[in-house]
Amino acid sequence: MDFKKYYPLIPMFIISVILLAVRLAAPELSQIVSLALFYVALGEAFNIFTGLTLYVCFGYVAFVALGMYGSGLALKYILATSNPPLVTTILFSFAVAGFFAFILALVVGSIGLRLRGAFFAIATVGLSEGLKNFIEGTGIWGGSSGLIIAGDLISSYGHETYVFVSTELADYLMFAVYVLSLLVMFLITKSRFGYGLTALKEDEDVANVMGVNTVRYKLMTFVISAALAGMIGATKMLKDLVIYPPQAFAISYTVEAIVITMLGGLGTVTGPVIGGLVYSILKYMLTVSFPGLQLLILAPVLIAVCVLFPYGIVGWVKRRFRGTLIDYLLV
Amino acid sequence: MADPGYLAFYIATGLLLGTFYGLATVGLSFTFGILKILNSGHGSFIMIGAYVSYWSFVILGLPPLVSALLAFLIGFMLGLGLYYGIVSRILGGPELISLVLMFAMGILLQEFAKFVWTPTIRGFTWDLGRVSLFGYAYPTTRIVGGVVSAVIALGLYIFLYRTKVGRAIRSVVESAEGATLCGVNVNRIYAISLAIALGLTIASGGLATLYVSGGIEPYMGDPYTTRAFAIAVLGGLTSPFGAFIAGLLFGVIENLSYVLLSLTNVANPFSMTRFIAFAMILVVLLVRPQGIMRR
Repeated sequence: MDFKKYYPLIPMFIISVILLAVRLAAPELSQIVSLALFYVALGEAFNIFTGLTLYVCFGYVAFVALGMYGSGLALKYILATSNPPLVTTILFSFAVAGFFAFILALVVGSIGLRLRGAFFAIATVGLSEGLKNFIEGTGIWGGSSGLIIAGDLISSYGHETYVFVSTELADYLMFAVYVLSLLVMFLITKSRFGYGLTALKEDEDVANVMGVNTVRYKLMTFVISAALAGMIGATKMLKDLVIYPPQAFAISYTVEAIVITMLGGLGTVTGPVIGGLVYSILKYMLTVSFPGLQLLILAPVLIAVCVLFPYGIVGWVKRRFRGTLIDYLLV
Repeated sequence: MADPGYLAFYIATGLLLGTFYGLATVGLSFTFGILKILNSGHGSFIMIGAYVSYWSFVILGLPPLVSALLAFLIGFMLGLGLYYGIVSRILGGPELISLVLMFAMGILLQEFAKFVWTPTIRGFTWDLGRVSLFGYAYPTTRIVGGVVSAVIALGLYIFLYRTKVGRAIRSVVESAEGATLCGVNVNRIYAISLAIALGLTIASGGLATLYVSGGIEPYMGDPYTTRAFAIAVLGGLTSPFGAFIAGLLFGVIENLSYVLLSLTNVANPFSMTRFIAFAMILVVLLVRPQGIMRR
């Protein structure tokens, strides 16, 4: 077996261990660590689709939001009907969250991904707004007054478990989803599927001729990416334990996912890790010094990255140190 | 509901609204057709137009139809600046970059508006009385606005088909290389096209104030982005006139679905009409991705 191709996992493993160690050793830093984990995972999930296919979904937050709703509804349902152990409840809610996002991606993707580039973007621009208005308009899932899960959790497991879930457990689950998204992205890029995607990214027509079923390849990355985003939403739900449509469907998540991926390096495994870490530290400082102005600062940064720096940090470093160990380890 | 006059009233107001929708989408199709760039931040430019109209009315006392001209000029200058400053640098690169860039531009305009003018919802009334037709009263401002929108669309048609610059623009649409060989300065045509497109979009935002009931605020553009995309797709995406006709159609569809939804009483019609715009994009892309105009 060829272990060499797994060497690039080493730097990512080190970063992950450091993050976990910081979380365990310094609980007072838990806020920034979980913020970093959230953004790296979000960026990586976004990267799996956008980075590998160069298609962009402007309604990406819809998958996170649907994951929140899926897990919230699953929790409400399972706690109202029976009283299973906590592990079962959590696993069930994560499965439902991923499934909800998966179904939405399947519906939107199977229509939209038959189209090329900009046409797909058009199909997705109204996705999150449309879905939010659908929930508010029809009044399903609590409508505009939102879903509150905290009460169900307290009445079933008691107050102590509730505190444990929303502080400790949510962080560890966030770490698990973060590891999962990194591994999925890494394994895709090293697989036959990933090579097909590279061909698709270079030239879709040629890839088609060479026997890559481009529509299916795009759809597969889209649903994988969405399911991961749904699980990120599930951890977010566990942290907040309330869901309101305007916050769940906030466009800032989509913008942040784009910024993290583009800043770090589109289509690279380590890009969103670096982008996510840089961004979460920046955001943590910005919310302290310039509350409410993140997007005003973020938008020009994104424009500058697009014009001056389209390969991102990792892309730039790889080009600078082409052929060296750094290029090899930084995938 | 059985009264046909009632239905005719909603169709007529839908058509009036549609002239504005059409004008608001022409710029989107123009940019996509010529520069092959999708303005994913389209709604924010409409929002800027609405603010131009608001401040002109409040400070200068200009009625929205006059300030639309001012809005066009502002949009024209903005378009030129945007083209030479940013867009020309990314032309020919991956499509993704231009999509993200325009999206970021939209966010920047929104946040700028929020920062400078605060998120307060603003509004003003410009009342010219009402015109009564077949027993139903229509606000005069909307009728005038509809006529002006149609005249602007006609003016664009004349510009494209009867002037030298218009012919140059059409030649660039056919083939940028071919146009270069014939002595067309493609770079300048791109700049002019983006300037006109953003000028029209911002001017249409000025006219939006005649129809918007919810008022003027930094995020008012988002629903228009979705609507404009639905309309542009319906009109075939690259044809400005297809977009205008599709805008009329969309105005009627939206108005009638609003009436229908208020009758059924299952869902909040205001939120649902916004969902309909999104659902329509998917349906049109699925059934007729080439739009209604082309065979």
